[in-house]
Amino acid sequence: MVAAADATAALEAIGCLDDCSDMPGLLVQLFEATAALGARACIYAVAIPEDEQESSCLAMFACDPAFAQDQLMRGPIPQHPWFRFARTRSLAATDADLPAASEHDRATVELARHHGFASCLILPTATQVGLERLDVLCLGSDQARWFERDESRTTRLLAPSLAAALNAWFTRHLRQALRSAAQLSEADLCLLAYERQGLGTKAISSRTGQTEAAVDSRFQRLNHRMNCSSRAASARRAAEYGLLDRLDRV
Amino acid sequence: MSQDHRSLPRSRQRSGAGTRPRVGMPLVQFAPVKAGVAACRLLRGRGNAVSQGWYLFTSADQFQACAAHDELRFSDPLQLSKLRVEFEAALGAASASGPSLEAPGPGAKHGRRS
Repeated sequence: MVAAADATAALEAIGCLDDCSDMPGLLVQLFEATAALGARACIYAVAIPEDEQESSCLAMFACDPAFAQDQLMRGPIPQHPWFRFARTRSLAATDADLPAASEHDRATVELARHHGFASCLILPTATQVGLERLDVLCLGSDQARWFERDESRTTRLLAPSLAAALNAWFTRHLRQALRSAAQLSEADLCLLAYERQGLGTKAISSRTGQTEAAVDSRFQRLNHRMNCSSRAASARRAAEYGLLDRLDRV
Repeated sequence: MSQDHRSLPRSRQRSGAGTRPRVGMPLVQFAPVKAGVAACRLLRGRGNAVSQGWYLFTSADQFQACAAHDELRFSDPLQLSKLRVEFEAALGAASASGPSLEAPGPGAKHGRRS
């Protein structure tokens, strides 16, 4: 049996996401929002490119932990067929819209079907133009094609609000995590923003009033703290983590 | 993201918090929450790449079901024994901090906690 969405409870649960101070708290709140939306299960995943080949990934599973564990052991979430599908979309879709799948993809989706994802609503969350971070919310139902029925209208209407709230929470979390890990000051962020704008050492030097040698030296220390091989890679990493949002036009 | 597991409030930090996992070797950590025990499976890739998967155990039975799965212990029975001890400690802390281990779901109470 599918529970109907409770719009008031869902909005309240979504609003409470903002109050969560850490990932465990957010996970519990995501369970509440999922239930209030009348969904049986939920996955929210964020993928951030770290370099040309590797990505970092954060995934929250508001569903059976056995499924979460199985899914995590099958491979990184960004390789999941729903996630790959979301990368090609800008609007919400359902699992019924997925193109013909390989044997491996079919097995992956079949695993999910047994754990509350008999049907799935897939919502990609838009990120800033020029960045590759991708957030995806997947809501599951016990009933096949549930998200194409009229009865799921409230869920479909409110799901983007949940996705947006989670996107905002993770953006704040990721910013704080990288800024703290790499010990980045406002001045460091300005340097990275200049680099992101394509300014060279000479131009940065004239804007900041520092010597060119000092600018080069600061970038070297920054790259070390960011664990990146070049200033371009450091700036890209900072941008993907949302650290340069406010500084694009410094 | 490699420092995320260190950024938990002290009350939620687990034994082993701050342990840097080896590349390709998953590290499972637990944190007590009102609804049970949150588990984080952390996997370091090359360079800065880190994967975190968070899921929730609302009962000891759920953990037992997962523990029966071979790969949770990473081919290392000692690892599973250690995880069992850590899970039980987290579950104990969760029980002590909340009125019940109510599983979130359609029947669960919604809304802001006081």
